[in-house]
Amino acid sequence: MPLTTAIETSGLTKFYGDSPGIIDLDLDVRVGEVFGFLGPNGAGKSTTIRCLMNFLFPTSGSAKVLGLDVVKDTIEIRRRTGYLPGELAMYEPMTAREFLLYFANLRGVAASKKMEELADRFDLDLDRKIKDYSTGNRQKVGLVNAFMHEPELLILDEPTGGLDPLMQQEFQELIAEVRAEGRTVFLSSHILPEVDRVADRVGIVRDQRLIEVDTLESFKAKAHRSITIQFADVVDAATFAAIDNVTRAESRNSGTVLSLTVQGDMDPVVKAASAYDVVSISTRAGELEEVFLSYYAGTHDAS
Amino acid sequence: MLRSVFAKDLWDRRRSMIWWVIGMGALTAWLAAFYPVMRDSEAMKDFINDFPPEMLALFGIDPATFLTGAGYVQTEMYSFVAPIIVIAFAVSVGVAATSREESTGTMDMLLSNPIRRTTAILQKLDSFALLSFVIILVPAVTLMALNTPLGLKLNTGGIIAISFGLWLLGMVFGGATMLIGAFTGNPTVAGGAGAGFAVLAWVVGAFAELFTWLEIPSKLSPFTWYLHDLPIINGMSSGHVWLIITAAAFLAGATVLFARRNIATEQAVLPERAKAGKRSTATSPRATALLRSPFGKSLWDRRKSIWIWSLGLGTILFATFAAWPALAGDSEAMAGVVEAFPKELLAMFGLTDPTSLATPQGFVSSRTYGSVGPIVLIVFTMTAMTSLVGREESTGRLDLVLSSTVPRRRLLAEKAAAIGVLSLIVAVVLFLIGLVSNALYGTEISLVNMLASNVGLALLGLCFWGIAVALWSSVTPGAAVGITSAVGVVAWFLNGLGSFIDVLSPFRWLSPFYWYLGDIVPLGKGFTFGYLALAVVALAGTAVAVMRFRSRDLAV
Repeated sequence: MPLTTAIETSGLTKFYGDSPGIIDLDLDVRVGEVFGFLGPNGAGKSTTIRCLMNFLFPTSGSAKVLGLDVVKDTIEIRRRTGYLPGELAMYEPMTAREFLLYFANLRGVAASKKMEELADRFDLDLDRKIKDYSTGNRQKVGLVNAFMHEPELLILDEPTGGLDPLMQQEFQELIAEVRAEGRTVFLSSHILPEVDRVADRVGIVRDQRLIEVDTLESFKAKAHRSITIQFADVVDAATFAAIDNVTRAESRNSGTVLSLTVQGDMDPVVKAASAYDVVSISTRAGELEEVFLSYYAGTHDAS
Repeated sequence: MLRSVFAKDLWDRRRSMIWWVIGMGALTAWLAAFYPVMRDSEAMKDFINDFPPEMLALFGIDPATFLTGAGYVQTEMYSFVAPIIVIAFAVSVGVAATSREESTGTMDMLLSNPIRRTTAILQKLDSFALLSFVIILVPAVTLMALNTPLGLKLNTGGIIAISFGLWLLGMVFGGATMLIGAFTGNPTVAGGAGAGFAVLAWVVGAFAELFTWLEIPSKLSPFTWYLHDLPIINGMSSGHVWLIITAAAFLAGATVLFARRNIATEQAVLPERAKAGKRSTATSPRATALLRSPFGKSLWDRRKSIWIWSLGLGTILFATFAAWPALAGDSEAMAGVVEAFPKELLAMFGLTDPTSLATPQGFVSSRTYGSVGPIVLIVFTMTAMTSLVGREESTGRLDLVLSSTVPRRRLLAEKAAAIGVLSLIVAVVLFLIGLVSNALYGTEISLVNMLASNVGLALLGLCFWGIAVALWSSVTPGAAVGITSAVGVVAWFLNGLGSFIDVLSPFRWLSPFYWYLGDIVPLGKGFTFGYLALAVVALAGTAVAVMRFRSRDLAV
């Protein structure tokens, strides 16, 4: 039977003494998907990842990666997994090439061709000492290390920290390629747009607990978006307020500008607006973020 | 407490200072307590009177004053032990002041506040001066308290003069460290330069009596100024003036350089283009060969420093052999010296078989295998343990390594094996230097004994690695090294004191130093069961660590 679940945790709990790292986590990451693990700093993302990598031993519950037990079969899991830590610490006096060569050796793979290819792609000079790299270039070395042995699962803790927009785009393309090849990516982040562009499904953690898992589309459907329409003439706000999806309607500028908050489908609003002479429409960027912010802050009712 | 740079620097050291103060106080009291034994020894008097003064100078003894309390305290405490401690402290504070802060990046943060750079560094100098003052105050107060009970007959003015000089000596070498730190911004270079300058100054000062060509340079050594005209008896001298001028010059230089420095240019903050050209390094064939496993990587990391450790210790070994012919002619007199010395005093310094001092194997052992050698090897294995295991874990690099397919057991076992091999490299280098010296200076020490003492020395270092790494599996790396060092000190004195204090002697066999030194100096014996015991502890400690490491959370 082919493997369908890449990561599966049931009741995974980790306590550091008395303080909780992650509590009662049930998570399913399917093979071939890109899963975004979202949450504010200190929510339990890294604890979860470090349990999956067997750096930490769960206090209770269990976890399977690629169908294998994280504690018993950690070596086999690690053989098939590429990992990027959240706090990337490397051997400062080594050059990137030496560092990557060493890690390829530890895995017993000859990764030099793929390594060069990735370095080219990220525009990274491998023959410089790691201590001389900027934050972004260090991150690139970490990414090359995670990708160079072409693992079937990638576990990436805050992968794009320090990368410039051009390299972030390169990273997104790389993720898209990996997905196209049927491989799985599990990435954590506290930045929504980063996940927005690559992830199929998203899980949100807050205060050591998983609050919700859903597809990005569903989250978007739940999003409250702000839309501002400028009309040539005065329009009646009440007409728009009556639409089901509209939760708020305000007119400004003596009634020629309408500011609306819409939840879900935008279609009825656009259709209603088409009855008038429209000068411009603008929606606020990052509207999805508001949903997440409400999750993060705990103001959103998870039910 | 965190109102200024000055206060913050004091606050940083609030805990470590307690240990410095306790250590310094205990050491002073310990050394002073032996004065009555020394003073009342008839044999000691005869020997001081009969012995050629230049020979006594080798032991740092001035015949005119040694039997007085002041002379004894100056020789045993202030001429060597106290300066080492004060300078070690001064150099570490000097490194922490600017260059360490630059390399960790906190200097950027600190200077982003609206304070002048000169204000920042001057406050750091103030805290340095104050902390050093506390360190020198401890032995002064301890000695004054013990003055009457032990009949030391010290005068207050003398204690003030030598303490002030000691404080200035710390200022000079701490100042030199800060100066280099402010110039290069590199903590390793600054610490190395400060410590190197101190060693050079001491060697030049200490050997001036033996070699006439050192006479002129010795006049420029801060150590010479510090001990000039017996300050503990005669009070302040021109030496103090020279110390003040030098310390002030170094500290002023550090301030000026720091004010104009480009902060943290050693680090990754420069635009990459600025350091592009020269920094590109092709991967060497040796790196390709060694970077195959954690074992090879651990050797590769130390491919340079291992030679500093080996050759540094080797130089001392060679110098000791070289000094033997001069003493050999007087070997009967040497035997007399040894007879005259109170056994207790020698045992305290680890020499439980004093008669051997008059033989080449005893003399060489006393200066190397019985004293400096163990310290260097233990510091070496502790340093390796900290960087290979402790720091790997705390920085999170262990996460990265263990995300590869290396099993935890293998990783730790390979690191242990690497430390074993590195210790053996030191032993082999020492063995070869010993062979050459042995032939050159006609000391006729047997090949087996030479081989055995080097193996024993390496095993002693590894024994302490075993203790430290077993502790590391249960406590933090810092605590592991701290506890191991404490164990080392206790074990050292247990061996020495156990040889003549009846209460302690039944426990003497517990000390690794007893297994290593026993009652026969290392060069005077071949392989012993004691060495086997050292190896067993090394292996057992590693085994405990490996077992516990398998099922432990990695800390970051």
